[in-house]
Amino acid sequence: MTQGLLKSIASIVLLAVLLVVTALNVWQTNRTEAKQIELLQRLDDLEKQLASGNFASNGGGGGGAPVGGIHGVAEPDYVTQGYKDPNNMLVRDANWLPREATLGDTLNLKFGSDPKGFNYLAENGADVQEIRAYNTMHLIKYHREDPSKKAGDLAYSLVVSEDKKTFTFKLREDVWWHEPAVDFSTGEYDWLKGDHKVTAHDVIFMLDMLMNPQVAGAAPLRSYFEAMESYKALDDYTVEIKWTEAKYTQLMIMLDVYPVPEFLYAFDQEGNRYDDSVLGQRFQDHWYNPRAIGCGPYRFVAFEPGVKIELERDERYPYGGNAHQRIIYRILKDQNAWARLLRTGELHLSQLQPGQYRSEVIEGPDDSPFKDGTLEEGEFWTHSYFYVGWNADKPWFGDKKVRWAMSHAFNAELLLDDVFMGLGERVTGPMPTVNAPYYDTSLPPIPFDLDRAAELLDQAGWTDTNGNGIRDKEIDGATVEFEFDLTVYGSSDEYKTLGNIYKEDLAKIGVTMNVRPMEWSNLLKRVDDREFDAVTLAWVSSPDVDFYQIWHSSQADIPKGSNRVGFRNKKADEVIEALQREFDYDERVRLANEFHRIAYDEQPYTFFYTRKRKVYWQNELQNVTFAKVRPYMNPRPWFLADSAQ
Amino acid sequence: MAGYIIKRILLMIPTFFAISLIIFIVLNFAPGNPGADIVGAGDGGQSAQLAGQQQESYRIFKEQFNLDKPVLLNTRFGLETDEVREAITTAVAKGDEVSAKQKIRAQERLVDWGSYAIPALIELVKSDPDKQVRAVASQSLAASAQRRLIKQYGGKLTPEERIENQEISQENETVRGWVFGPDAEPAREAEVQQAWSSWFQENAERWNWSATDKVGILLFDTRFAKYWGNLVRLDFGLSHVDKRPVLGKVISKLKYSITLSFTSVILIYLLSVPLGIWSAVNQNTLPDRVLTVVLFMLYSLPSFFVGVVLLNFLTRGTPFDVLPTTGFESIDVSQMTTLSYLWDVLRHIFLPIICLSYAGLAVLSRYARTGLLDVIRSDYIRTARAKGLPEWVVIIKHAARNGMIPILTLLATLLPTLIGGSVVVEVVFGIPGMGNYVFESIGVRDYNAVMVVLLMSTVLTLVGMLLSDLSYALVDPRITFD
Repeated sequence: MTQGLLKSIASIVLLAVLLVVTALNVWQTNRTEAKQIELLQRLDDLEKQLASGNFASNGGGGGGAPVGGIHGVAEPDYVTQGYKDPNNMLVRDANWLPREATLGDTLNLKFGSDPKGFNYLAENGADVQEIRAYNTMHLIKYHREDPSKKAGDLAYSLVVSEDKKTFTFKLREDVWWHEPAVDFSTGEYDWLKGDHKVTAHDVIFMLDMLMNPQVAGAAPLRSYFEAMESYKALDDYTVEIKWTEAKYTQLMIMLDVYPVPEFLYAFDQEGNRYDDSVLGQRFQDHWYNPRAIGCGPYRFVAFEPGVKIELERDERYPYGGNAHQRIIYRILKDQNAWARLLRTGELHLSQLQPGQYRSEVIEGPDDSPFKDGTLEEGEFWTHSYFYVGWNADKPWFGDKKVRWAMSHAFNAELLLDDVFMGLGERVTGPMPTVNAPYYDTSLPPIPFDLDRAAELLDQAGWTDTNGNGIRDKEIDGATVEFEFDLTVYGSSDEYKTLGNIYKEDLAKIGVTMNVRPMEWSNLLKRVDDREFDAVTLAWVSSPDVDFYQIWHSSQADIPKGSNRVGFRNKKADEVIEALQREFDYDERVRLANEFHRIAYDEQPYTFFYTRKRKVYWQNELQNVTFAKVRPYMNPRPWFLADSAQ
Repeated sequence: MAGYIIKRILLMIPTFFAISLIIFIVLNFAPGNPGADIVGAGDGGQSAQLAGQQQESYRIFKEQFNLDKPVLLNTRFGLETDEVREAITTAVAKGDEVSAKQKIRAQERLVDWGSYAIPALIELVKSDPDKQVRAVASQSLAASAQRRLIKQYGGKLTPEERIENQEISQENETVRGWVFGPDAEPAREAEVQQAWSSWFQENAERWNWSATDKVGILLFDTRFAKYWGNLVRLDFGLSHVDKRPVLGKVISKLKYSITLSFTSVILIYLLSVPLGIWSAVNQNTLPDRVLTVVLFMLYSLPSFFVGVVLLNFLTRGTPFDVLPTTGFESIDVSQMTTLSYLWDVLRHIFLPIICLSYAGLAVLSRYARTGLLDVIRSDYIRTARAKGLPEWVVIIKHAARNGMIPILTLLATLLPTLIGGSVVVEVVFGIPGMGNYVFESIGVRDYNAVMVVLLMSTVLTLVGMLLSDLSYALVDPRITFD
């Protein structure tokens, strides 16, 4: 009995000792690991200091490249000369950063979904375009404050020939490709090592890939290059593009041309060049596509799907305007998380969707960070407008009077204020108000007036002849009831509410409308098939206007064309074509205004509103401004206040 | 026993095939097109573009993913000239004669037929009375007669293949040039017609199918057959969204989903068995009733609601500032030791696990309760009590062992949920797991991605059912399979 007890005690003691030893072991290992990490961190810092030239100069470092601070490097002489050339169309861009800005640490931003990949030619989602704007340079860009001007970027000079058919770009000679985001430690990618300058050949490679039908993702952009006759590099820093006809859109589309590094994309993972016959396909599906490369202010570091995208400031970028050492985009698919992370300070800046805007700001408590000054508030206008499109090929909507009646019955003010939380402004024509002066501000929005709507329907011959409460009309011997479907984007509650309010108002004037919510892919198919009666959608436009694809009558008969409502108007066609050929700004404004008035008069759409976005940011973030052009969430003028570091 | 297992495993193969067939059919016939996103969308808005120019690229895209092929049976070897002619006239019809939908379908048919339409198109180019039809036929020929490059969609080329590919692309280049417009000069037209007929004579044997060829085409040149062909080589295909292999993507998501579901399953069992036993012992007392009500209330609470409530009360910057707000781990984990990383993950997944567990807890503890109640009234329990054993020995040693059999076998059926993930919980807590992935893939009609996940859960369901049958035999000696 005592022996049994002793045995038990002995084993318990043994167990306890073992436990203690294990715990000690774990603790010890953890400490070693922590030390190791600290050491690595210090090494890393040292390396960075060396690279940024904080230690004694070693002849320029990094292959003789100049090291740019956050305000950029001094402009080379040939660039200054280039801007003096009276034939040069380009101007210098405005300064991004105020003088007092200092280099800050990490800027935390967010995306609402995973980008599909970072091959900018193969992907054109809005998120990828945003990354593109920080990661790479374009040939030219819009001037930050004056969209009527084009500013230099990679090119400092653009000369357009007398007949407007030849564009000659001169490129800066001090721009370098970022180091590819691959793991060099394995030795597998040694063939990618070394410095690469950005040259005219990289622009030519981009155009090669753009024109290659195997690159499916580039198809939307490719359609604008139909009239391209030739493109070539005259020397390492000069690109010449020739067109068969002169069109202003061709100048617009130059804003979407950027260099693509041939030294990376023309090669497979082992460094062997792809065969030309399959190069386009390999480029489209390239092994490097989950990562990005560019020559802009920020270098791509890593992408973890569903987690984050990490960008790091590139020291060699010549223009400066990158005051954050790192930008981290967290991927937050649940929109509620945006507001939550703003409150906790884990996001520096985010926009709010109308729903969150309501719950956090309008209905939120007074001591919430959204109201007590912890977060600052701002807004910017998007380049998009929402509309209800009327299919003119359906029996109801071929008549202008009916479309006007529909616009009068649409309670836009109420919807904008109560459903879309006042986050926008009404539009009267086919472009957002930020497009002014192209947008004709003198036209009044069509007022909500059910009596007027009923009157117009009467005039158009739609009356209730059979007494069932619904208007009808005899068309080709058959009685047609005024009952139609409104197709709306189903993943958004706002649209469904819009449909229901509209439905009730229409019912008051004897028109039956059924709301059909649909998810995106089905909605698109239905619209392509022209199987809709009416649809709510939005168009995104560019700062320069071109109405050809959406409004020219030739586009109404093309399968899957963008003129889905079947808008056919001779006068409008003439104006649209003239606008495409016109290079003179004032004349372009006049033509655009004229088209705006035609569209207003015809009401092919009930033009609804252009969206304003509410943005909130931590008050340590300074100089938050949004450019008129492509405002997205451009962090380049921003910097973190010193106290925050 | 071994014989039984082998038999069951062999039976799984046809079952798996049948299930995959059903999933495949449902997926492929669901409305919506996989390529729709090529046209560019987002945020409820669109940028306009000239759609007509995208056809060549769309054709290549369809070819890459076999979307140009019929789903199950391919009867295109019997394509009639009249059928092709009708498609052409529909596709180019002007004005209101045909609807936009018919036009789009006709054009898609022309593209999808591909090389099967060539004999008919040759005939049309040479001898159709309508010049418009002849012109369009020449354009269709120029697209359809192009040969696919060797390893066009991936794989390394040998030097010989490179040379052959160069020849093919040269030939394709020539073929692409043999087109004329509806208002072309007669001389140009004659030249193109001549080129096509001599080309067709040279290649005619490609369209001379024997009966066996036709059967082969009927059954094997289809989407389903191609998919299965790849499947037996364990090639699950690429995601058409980012052109990465779907299997790799799924495996990278498994880390998150398995951690969550595995922990929550363990937690459910650890809690529900004692709870069940306790309420069975205290059957129909007040505490039992209260517990029952509470568990049923838990069961009926939707997890998205509970998730949001928990997040708003227990995470950073809210009343109780204790847990992180979102994600599976912190944004910067490279600076952490293994221990602190474990702690970090644990803090992150604490709330999601609660959300995943509470409903299951309610269900399983009810099972445990019933299971125990079933045995507690049997004779051998009365015998055990009669022997004078203490009550806890009776319950734990004699009753619980048998009473828990049903919920142990339930474990096997939980297998597929291990990888399935939960859409709601993953979205609310920002965890990049499987549930999130499947949901997004369905939205963009990424067939390959949806297929691989569904097939994985098919296999796991089949295996789980086998395991649960076997476990019956293991724990209950009265059941045998021989």
